Amino acid sequence: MDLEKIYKEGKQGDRRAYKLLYEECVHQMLNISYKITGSLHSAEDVFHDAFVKSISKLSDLQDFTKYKSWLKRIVVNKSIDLIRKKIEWKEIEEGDWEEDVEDPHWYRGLSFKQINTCIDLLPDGCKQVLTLYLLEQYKHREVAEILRISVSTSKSQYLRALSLLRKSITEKYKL
Amino acid sequence: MSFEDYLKHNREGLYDKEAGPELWDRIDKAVESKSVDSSSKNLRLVMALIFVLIAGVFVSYIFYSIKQQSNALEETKQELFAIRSIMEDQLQNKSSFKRIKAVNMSANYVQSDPEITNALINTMLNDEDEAVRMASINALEMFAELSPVKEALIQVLEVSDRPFIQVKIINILADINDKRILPLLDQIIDDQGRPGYVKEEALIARNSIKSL
Repeated sequence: MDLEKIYKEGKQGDRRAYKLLYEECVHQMLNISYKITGSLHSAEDVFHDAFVKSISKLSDLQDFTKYKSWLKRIVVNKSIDLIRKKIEWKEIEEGDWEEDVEDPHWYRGLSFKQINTCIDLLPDGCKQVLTLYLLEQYKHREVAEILRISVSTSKSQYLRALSLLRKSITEKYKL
Repeated sequence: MSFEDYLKHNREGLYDKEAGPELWDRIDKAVESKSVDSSSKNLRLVMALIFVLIAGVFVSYIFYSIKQQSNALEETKQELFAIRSIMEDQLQNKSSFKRIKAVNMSANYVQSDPEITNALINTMLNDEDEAVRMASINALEMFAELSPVKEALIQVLEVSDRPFIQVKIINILADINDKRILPLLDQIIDDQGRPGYVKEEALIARNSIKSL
């Protein structure tokens, strides 16, 4: 798919180009939003608003290669806005830390669905940090800025998320 | 590979949610309505620009007209001032002919300039030459209904001993049907010293006024 061509046609108001942009972006953006909000319905609403906003501001964007990261930032911000009040930034407790694991491949045999089920069960706060830092490759500094927390909180929440996830998986699937 | 790296490299596998089929339709409608909004905004902008343009032209036209009127008024004032000066100068001239010429010239400006009207009334009342006085009466005839002109005509009728002037004024006042001259007309009718044709004109005028 020639993104530059699609982008240029989209800039000129071509609605077929909008559809192609939509198809290019919808899967990733919807899933990011879902991971943050925990609701497919909310994720669809977020993506709807973000995509329409990005289309209306398309002519402001000079470099088409930045379109996806720009749209992603809109989606992330809107998703965070939806759940920000729900997040309680808990202090890290001793039990939240996982000790070193002897078998680094302990997760073998797990399906993505099983992993996803346990990610969905993570408490708000560390789930969002895990999504942004691990899956979307934001830096801790950026995660901190997006979530309006300190960098150290972002780091500790991330470690907590990994630890809780492993604990949840091993308990749930008897590993 | 650590669990962390495994997740990092298998993000696509973890992104398993799919958009509902109606999501694109919702977006398409929203984009269309935004586009319509944008078009109508542009249309409103164009309309506003046209309105501003028309308003600008209109205001300029009004401004230009006012300026033109103002210029015309100023020109008229200057013209009247010039005519008044010439007339006042000419009415003082020793030559009756020149005074009659000044009176005739001034006749066109009676309604525009009270000072010219007063100068003509003054000439009608005081000029030594009957021909000049008569020219003034002729000049003022069309404006007999103006209060100062009417008062002056009555005054001339009371004091003038010139039969032709009396007849002219009786006719003028009869035409405007001013009942106040009825006692004066009765006096003229009863005055034995008046020429018969003057009394006859007075009688006709009185009957004409009374009949209305």
